[in-house]
Amino acid sequence: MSNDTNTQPGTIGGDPGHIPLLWENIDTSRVNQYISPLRNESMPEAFSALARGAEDETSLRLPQHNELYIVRHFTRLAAANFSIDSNMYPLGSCTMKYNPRVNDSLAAETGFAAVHPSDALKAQGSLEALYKLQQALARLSGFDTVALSPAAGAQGELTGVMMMRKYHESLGDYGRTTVLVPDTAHGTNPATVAMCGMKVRTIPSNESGQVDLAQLDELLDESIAGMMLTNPNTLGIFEKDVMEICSKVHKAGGLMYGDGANFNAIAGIVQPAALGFDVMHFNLHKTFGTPHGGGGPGAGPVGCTSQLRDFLPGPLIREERDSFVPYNPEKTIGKLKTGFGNFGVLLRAYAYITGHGVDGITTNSEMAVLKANYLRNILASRLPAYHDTPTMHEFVASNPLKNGVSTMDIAKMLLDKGFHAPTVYFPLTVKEALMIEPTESESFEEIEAFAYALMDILDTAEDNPEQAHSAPVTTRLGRLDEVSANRKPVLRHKL
Amino acid sequence: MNFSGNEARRDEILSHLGHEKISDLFLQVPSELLYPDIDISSGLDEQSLGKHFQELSAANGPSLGGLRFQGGGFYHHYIPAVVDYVSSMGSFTTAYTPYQAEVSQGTLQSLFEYQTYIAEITGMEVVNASHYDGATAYAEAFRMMYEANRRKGKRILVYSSISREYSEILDTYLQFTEAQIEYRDLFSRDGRSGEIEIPSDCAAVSVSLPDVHGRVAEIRHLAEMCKKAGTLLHIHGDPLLMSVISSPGQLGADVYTGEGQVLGIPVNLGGPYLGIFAVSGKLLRKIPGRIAGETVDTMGKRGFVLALSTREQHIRRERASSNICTNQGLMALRALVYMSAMGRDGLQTVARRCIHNAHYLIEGLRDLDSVSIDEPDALHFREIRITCDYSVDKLMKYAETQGITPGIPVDKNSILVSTTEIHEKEDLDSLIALFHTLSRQEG
Repeated sequence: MSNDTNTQPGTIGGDPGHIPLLWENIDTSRVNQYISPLRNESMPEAFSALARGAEDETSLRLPQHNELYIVRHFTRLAAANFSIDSNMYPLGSCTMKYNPRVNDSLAAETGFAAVHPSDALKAQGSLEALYKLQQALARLSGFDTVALSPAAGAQGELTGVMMMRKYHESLGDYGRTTVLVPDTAHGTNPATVAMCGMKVRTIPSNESGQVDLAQLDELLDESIAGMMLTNPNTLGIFEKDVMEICSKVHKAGGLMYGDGANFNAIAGIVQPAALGFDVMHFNLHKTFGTPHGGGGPGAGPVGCTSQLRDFLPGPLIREERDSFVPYNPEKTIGKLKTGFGNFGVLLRAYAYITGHGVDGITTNSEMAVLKANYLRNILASRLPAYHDTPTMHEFVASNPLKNGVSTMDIAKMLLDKGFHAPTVYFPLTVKEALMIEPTESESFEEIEAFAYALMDILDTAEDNPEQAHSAPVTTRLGRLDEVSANRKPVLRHKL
Repeated sequence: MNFSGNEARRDEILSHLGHEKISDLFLQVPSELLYPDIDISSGLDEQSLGKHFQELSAANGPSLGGLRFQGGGFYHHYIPAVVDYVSSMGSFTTAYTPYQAEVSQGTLQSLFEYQTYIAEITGMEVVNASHYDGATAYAEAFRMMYEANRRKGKRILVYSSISREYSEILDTYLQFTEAQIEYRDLFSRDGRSGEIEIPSDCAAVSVSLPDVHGRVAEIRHLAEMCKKAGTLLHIHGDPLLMSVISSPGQLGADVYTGEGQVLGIPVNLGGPYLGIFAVSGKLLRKIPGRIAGETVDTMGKRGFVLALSTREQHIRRERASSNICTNQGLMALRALVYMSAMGRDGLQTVARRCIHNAHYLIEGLRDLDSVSIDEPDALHFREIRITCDYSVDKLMKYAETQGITPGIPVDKNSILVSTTEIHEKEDLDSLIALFHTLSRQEG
């Protein structure tokens, strides 16, 4: 290997933080150091007719940097990110808890990562881990069976809603094509219903931030396939009437879908199946601490009652005599993802569950709820929770400022204080919403620091709205113009 | 193990909040259901957890080692160490979807660079920030084309043999639509003789390069037919192969999807992988998933944001183009680091070695009477399907005694053999020798 260097321009236009795109210092003189070309290479005749021609030459302008350049480039990019590792990241509904390093290092071992899906039967260790993860998730949730293959929460939802539709169809009931979705639900809920060719009926929330039972009664009829409910909901409120809701939907002939996005509040505390849910997805990247990866990969396993288990997507794992074998349920909705799902993520979640045990998982849920309540309590005088109802693992407040300072302004001011912002403008039922989830990982002291920073920000913004509008000022880049990014989209570097 | 922070102040905080015990926090939960018995063991310390995983890993022994020629859509390629190094940086792994752009420039610029690499390789105009895997990108592409061009008709022609897994996933995704999928084959007599007809009620045509048997078809004629018929053309292509053949954009594709696992991602029992999804400019508002876009800050400095989110579920809810929320950010980063480290030269070297090796096998087996190779004169990328006079079962058993896994059995007499740059000439010679030995035994 050769170690010659090329220059990474540190300052362009007097901006020391500027990180050039990989093309902006293009050097095509280097050959790759990883794979040597064959000396006696021979290409078949058929290749010449298909080969990338001269007219394509301008469309394969890929730089060839040496490895030091690459490492520096990405090290500098990494430093331009906030992350759980560097900053508190109280992004509501995303459960940005600590991701234990041991899980990453165990999952990266060649003994797991190098197994080809066609060798699954010979990889009994991997199948055992999957089997035990299925079992652990089933026991935590109270469901009969769990399928691990859905690749993300949204794909878990797709799985569950398809299962509901197939279930009704299997009974010869083709008229159930409407799904009830609360107005506080994640956008993925209604989008999933639409992808399954069904209609959405929205249930408004009541003053306490929960499903309005009277409204629910009115919306239930014979066209109902079921209802999707997040519990605790996106306001961080445990639906007090959840058992009654489930029983009403069941009486109307519908099924209850649980969106498990907020399972971190109740794992070990209460089982969704016992509350009356029929099918639910888990977000392993939230509750079970697998890294969010800048937006994936996640994993969205789905658990269900014995009534629905035959509809689950394969492969599931079962124990037969002395070995673990994959199988597909009888009336399966079909496969949704190649191989065994996001195995690398599943393995990390299995390590998380095995390492924590039921005691650790329960403690984490308790601490997640305690810490959210403590944060709510400190902020009560300045940024009260929107609803008076008890808080679980997160709470939602409405921007109290009336002087033109927006929720976005507050979010950007938090960045200046070294905190990632909460989720903003969601749920849609709360005007100028801030949705705050500290997670169990943050110490009480860090939570206090965050609360005082937030109150300080509100004071500053009240007195000096102009300062609020101009945040952030400590980040290398000031506020970015999203409007023009949409009006004249530039989605790749122009070469 | 426990990572929920300092416990010391727990009781102090509890009483500060006016509670006596921790269960007071769960007053909304039906009390009779609180704290159920859950049959899961207590936690382990890190050392014991490591030991448990070592045992599991050891039990995987039979699936590893020896000479392996399996593919079927997922391949062993060499992964430079720098890929693992960069993609395990905590600042990338423990960040989330870049909602706050000013403190997420690392993720956003990486995604923008990833999009640019894929656009260069495929010749497509718009690339999203990734999808779950190649198969889900494939299936969602069909949904998108069906929605975008449904006024033409409900039929979609698949002009390539695809794997059973792909067709199952496609069926799952399309089961509640009225789309009609019809399978054809460019290597059948009809497809080859240029007698392709595109029906007028056809919304889209899809081809895979290579197809499930490693064959790479010449599709210029088909592409012209699609253009004339006003039908959308979808190419599902291997990104490494795309670096050495005419690009989908050049061929006139409206939609490109691909499995990005081959770009620096281990096979890992099926995931996480990387779904590559790209479209021509006219489908800009139809493409599902996140996209990074360039913009400027208040001082005019360049920066990146998530663009065009009005297509997406968190804004449009039931009217969104898909329910997809996150992408496979970290896998897109792996692919980007892989592509940037390899460079154009490296990507093309790998692709050419895959072609060279596949044809080296073809030439080594061509004259053997006891086996026949599917389309030996077509361009093959990595893979060939070999049909034997004897049973594949016999082949597999004998191969095992030689420490070789020769491929993935397709049916009683056929096997799909896959080779990449990880195989040296001697490895290929061993595989060829295996078939020769069996041939002599049969003879």
